[in-house]
Amino acid sequence: MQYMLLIYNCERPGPADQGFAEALAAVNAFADECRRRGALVGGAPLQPESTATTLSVRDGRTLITDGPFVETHEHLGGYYVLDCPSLDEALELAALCPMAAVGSIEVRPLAGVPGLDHRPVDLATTGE
Amino acid sequence: MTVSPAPVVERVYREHRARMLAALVRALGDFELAEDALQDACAMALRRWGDLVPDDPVAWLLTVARNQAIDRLRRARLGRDKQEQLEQGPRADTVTTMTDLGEESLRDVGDERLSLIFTCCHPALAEQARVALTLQAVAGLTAGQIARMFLVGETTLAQRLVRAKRKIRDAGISEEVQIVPGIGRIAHCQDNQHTPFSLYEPASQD
Repeated sequence: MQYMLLIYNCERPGPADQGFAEALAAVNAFADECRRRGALVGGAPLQPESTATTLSVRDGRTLITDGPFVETHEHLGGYYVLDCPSLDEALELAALCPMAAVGSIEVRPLAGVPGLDHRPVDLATTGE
Repeated sequence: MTVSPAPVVERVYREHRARMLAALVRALGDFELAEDALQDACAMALRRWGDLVPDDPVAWLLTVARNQAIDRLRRARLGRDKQEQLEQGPRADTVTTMTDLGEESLRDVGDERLSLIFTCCHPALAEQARVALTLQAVAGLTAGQIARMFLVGETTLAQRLVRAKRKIRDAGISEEVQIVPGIGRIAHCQDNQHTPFSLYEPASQD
């Protein structure tokens, strides 16, 4: 089963900040561990919410607003998608994630929808 | 003259319900499906047992329940993965081999009852849901009885149970958990089934 780790409320140091090299090494070590277990499907840090744009289409009209969908104190900073045999394994990996020591990580199973085709472009074009 | 199998079915169900449920939850990874399948198996036992009760009624019920579960999955055309898991996976063996085992099967199932407690008490479930689920699945209390202990409405409690069972299925909560902060509290509740207010005494730290 695949799980998404949503990383909340975790300040990310910039490349010029003190401690950046250590933080990067810790995050890369976490990704290494996920890869070693064959669990890492993907993941990325997100730009801050100030860069977010929210869109909806109603009655054929597209409405675009500046900012995130919900204004909360919880800031979604990034995500991983991990393939794990059970929630326990996903929770175990989430506990190893360096961001868990600073912010909080929400672990959500990905839903299986019969017939849904979400192959990324490189797989779709090779017909796999 | 055919003797009604009802008393035998009832006795087997009463004595072995938790063990059978544990084996099924473990094999299926789906609480509601396991409960439904066990009900199906009991209904079939009522129709079939008549004069002849199987040598190992528990094994009979488990095998029928497993087949009923596969039928339900097939009918629902959902859980294709689960169906494969049942037909090929290592977990399926624990149930399919039940047919060949007599008393031994019960000993195996005994272990799974503990795993059922671990599943019910998984820290990913809300604490009250953990306690309620364990009381229902392991101790066999009804939603109504548990609702009175928690001083909540039966509908509310039933909804909590359903939510917890669906989370176990959908989030892939396994039964092999080591951290179990709910267990001390459950023992506490079971000892005091008839004195609901004791629930609100501070539970000993687990």
